[in-house]
Amino acid sequence: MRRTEIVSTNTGTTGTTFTRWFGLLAVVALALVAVFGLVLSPPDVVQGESVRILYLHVGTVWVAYLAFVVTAVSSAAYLWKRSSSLTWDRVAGASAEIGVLYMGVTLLTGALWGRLSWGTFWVWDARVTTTAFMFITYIGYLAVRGLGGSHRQRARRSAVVALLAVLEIPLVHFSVELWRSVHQDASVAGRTTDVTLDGLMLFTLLLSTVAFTLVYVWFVLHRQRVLAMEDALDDRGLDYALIERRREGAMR
Amino acid sequence: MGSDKSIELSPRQVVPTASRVRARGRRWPALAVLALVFIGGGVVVTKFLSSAIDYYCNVDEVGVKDGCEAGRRLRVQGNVEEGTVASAGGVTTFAISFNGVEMVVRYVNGDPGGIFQECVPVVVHGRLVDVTAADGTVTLVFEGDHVDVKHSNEYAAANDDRLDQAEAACSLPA
Amino acid sequence: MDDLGFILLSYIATFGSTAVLAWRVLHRGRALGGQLPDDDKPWV
Repeated sequence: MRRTEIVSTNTGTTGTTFTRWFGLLAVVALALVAVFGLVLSPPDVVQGESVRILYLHVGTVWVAYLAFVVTAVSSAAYLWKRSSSLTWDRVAGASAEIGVLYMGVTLLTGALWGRLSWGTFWVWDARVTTTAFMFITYIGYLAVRGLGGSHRQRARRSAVVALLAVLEIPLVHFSVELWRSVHQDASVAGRTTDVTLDGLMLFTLLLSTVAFTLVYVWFVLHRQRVLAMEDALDDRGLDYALIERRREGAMR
Repeated sequence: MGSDKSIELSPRQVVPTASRVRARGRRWPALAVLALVFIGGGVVVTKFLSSAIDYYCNVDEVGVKDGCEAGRRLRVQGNVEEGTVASAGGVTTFAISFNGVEMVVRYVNGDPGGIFQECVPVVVHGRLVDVTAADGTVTLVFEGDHVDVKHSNEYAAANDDRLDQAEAACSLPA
Repeated sequence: MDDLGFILLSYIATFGSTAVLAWRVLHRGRALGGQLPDDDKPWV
């Protein structure tokens, strides 16, 4: 393959001025989460210091939910019209990757907090079990994206899976109300929200959700550009093959 | 492209392009992950159906509700009663209550761990047993070997004004 | 202290995994960006 024939000027990065400033903002926000979460916020009267883990647990699970909803919305947008841009598919894929990462982090921080508060790393109760199932489902979604075929085949196939998988979110979120669970009710966004949070604790929790949301947006911007370049390289592979064909034809 | 006379339009065998070869090569890891996903998903669903739907019985349901029969191994939820926690010889005894019904618990594995204390809700794993006291009276006690400590939705800053954690837990609204 | 170890592990795992993924995405972006012309990068 003589790629040098096609490559003209190139700028080898997925960043722009905007994403660089945005990334800096996300890093500052994360640093503030660490400062407030580890130092400035008070220990809880019952949980003690282990409440500090919840600032990460809630922030990352929020982003995981957000990521999976964005995956579903982008997938629906792609399926809406057959001529839809593959950008929708790439945003869906990029978003799901971040969602899987943070859902994994949520399970890990939940297990560590559970060991300190519940006295055990894991319980097979409704919330923990449905969360684990959702995590596994989205690993499956990413595997479906890797099954090969054309870009359009990949997009259609994974969009259907994404639209089915997103139905698990209400199941997970309201599992603590539908079934008996060791897990506490939804901390901030419950249907029957009856939560009292100390002022600085609430601030740290909200700061964490904002910080991880910024990180999420930054990731999706960069990752969907990487996916676009991977697709473009695949398409270029096809172009090179056509050029070779033409050359072959001319030589006869 | 249309003016390019060098293009030969006769039917020909499809030559695999770089992208398609790569896609086919990538398929096996994805299939292996999918197989693991199905196995893992199956395990989790089985656990959900066998454990999560009825994770525990409340104290007042023991011997009353279906699935909460006194003779079987149970998970029982109740609030740890104030002033009932005592430890001796690696056994922690305490009382839990729910809806006005109380049950005495003998936890045989030492300290229950976690944030276990008075006035917090707990789920105790174990079974009901008859215990004969020195005077010959027989009482029904729940002998537990595992305790999950539930946490309520109350988050309050610890401060020096409070005497201790246990008192603070009892002062929080139930 | 048990609590401190668990808390630090949570923060290290969360921020560490975020940093590793960020590095991988940027690194991959740079690697692919060098192989493609700017025509294929509408954000440039």
